[in-house]
Amino acid sequence: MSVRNLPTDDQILDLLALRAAEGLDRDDEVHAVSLDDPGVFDAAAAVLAIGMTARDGIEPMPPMLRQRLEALAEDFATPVPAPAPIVSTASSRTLHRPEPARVPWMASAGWLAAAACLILAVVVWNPPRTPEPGIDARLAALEMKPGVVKTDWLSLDAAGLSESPHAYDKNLKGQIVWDPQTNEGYMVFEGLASNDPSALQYQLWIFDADRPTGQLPQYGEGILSQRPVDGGVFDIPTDGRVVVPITPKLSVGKAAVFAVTVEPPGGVVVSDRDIVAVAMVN
Amino acid sequence: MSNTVSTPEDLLPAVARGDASAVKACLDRYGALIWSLARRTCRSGADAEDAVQEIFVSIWKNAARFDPERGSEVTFVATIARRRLIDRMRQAGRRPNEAPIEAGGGMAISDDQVAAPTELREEVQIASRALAELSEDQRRVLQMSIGHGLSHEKIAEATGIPLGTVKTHIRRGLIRVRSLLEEQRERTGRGVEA
Repeated sequence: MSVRNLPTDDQILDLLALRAAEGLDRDDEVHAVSLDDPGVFDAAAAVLAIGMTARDGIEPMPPMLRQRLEALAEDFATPVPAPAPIVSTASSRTLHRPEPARVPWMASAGWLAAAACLILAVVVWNPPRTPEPGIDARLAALEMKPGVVKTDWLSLDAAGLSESPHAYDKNLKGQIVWDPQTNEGYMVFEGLASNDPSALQYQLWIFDADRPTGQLPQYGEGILSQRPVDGGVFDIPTDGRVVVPITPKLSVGKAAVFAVTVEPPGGVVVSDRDIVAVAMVN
Repeated sequence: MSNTVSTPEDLLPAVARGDASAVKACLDRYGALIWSLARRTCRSGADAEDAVQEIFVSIWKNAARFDPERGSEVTFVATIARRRLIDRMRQAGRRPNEAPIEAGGGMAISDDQVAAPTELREEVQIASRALAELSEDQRRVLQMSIGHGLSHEKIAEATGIPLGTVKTHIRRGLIRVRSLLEEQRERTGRGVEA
């Protein structure tokens, strides 16, 4: 969207300007993200903020903070490989995987030749294997395993967390299927609002009965007062049936509650718990 | 393998590829800016430190979304930083309005006054040009809103300017900056969206 074709409605422009300047309440945000380009003024606000900050003086960050960030940077640059997000819909049964990072052609040419030789060698020594089963097949196989937990998603009102369902709950149905032994699991959703990944993403949190509680006393004294395990950030590309693999960032001993929250793109380390749905394990 | 990162537009693609040196170079290039942005709106140093950590994780995670044809890298980075800061302030249940406003809050930005790092020069010039075209009231309102995160209502209260006029000042200021970014895109082939 260019300046020349900005919305002509001043109320819309004011809403988008407010969003860029100070953010919006949830209902207005839902309205804004339904527009063509909710971030139409974000870059302009950022440029103004840069100019004003530069005028007042750019300060170096404290050395201790820098050290902590360098440690975070090392962790980030050598991540534990996570399963690629895979989405399966009932209608298409199509698997969608994110495109791999692009590698400059010159840098990749030599590797391509080497990879071709390697593939040839592998094929000579090993006959082609059966393709990896799709996500629905893996979900079905997991459901058959003894000891696997299967529990339904609850809306906020059904869980007693609110008087009404979340705005993104479009008559949500579905289950969590979770293997406590292997920490493998899948979330099945139907009726969870599709999201624009550039505006918001969903994030799963796992409350573990084997982990300590009380770190977040604002959430009471029970298990909800613990720092839950990050179960992974995910997108819902369609309001139809979607299956999402669970990717816990830490080992989970005894999962007691699963909660899905709405978060900024990329997810968060500590959530403010804008919960859309919960699933409880008996 | 580590790639050499030499120009602003090289950095985030390298971060997206998981290049360890680029992830750290991000701290070198933008650490001071992010810290300074956080200090302007966070209640305390500890809060600002938490915010900076969250912002960098978000920048690294979203690095693959950067498209140099749609805007500069520093604008992309500052946009993510502002979004995280706004989210944090709203999550904390307060409007971003606690920071004291210095007497010069409505001053224009003069290029002579600003010893901006090289990678910020272009953005500082655009902000400077846009603010120079505005009235004193308009500059003051934008400074209070974008510079210090005051809510529209607080600005109206503090200045005595009607709320509708505050909104208009902010909207027009943002439209003007966007227009200048558009002109920049036409000059450089780069867009206006972070």
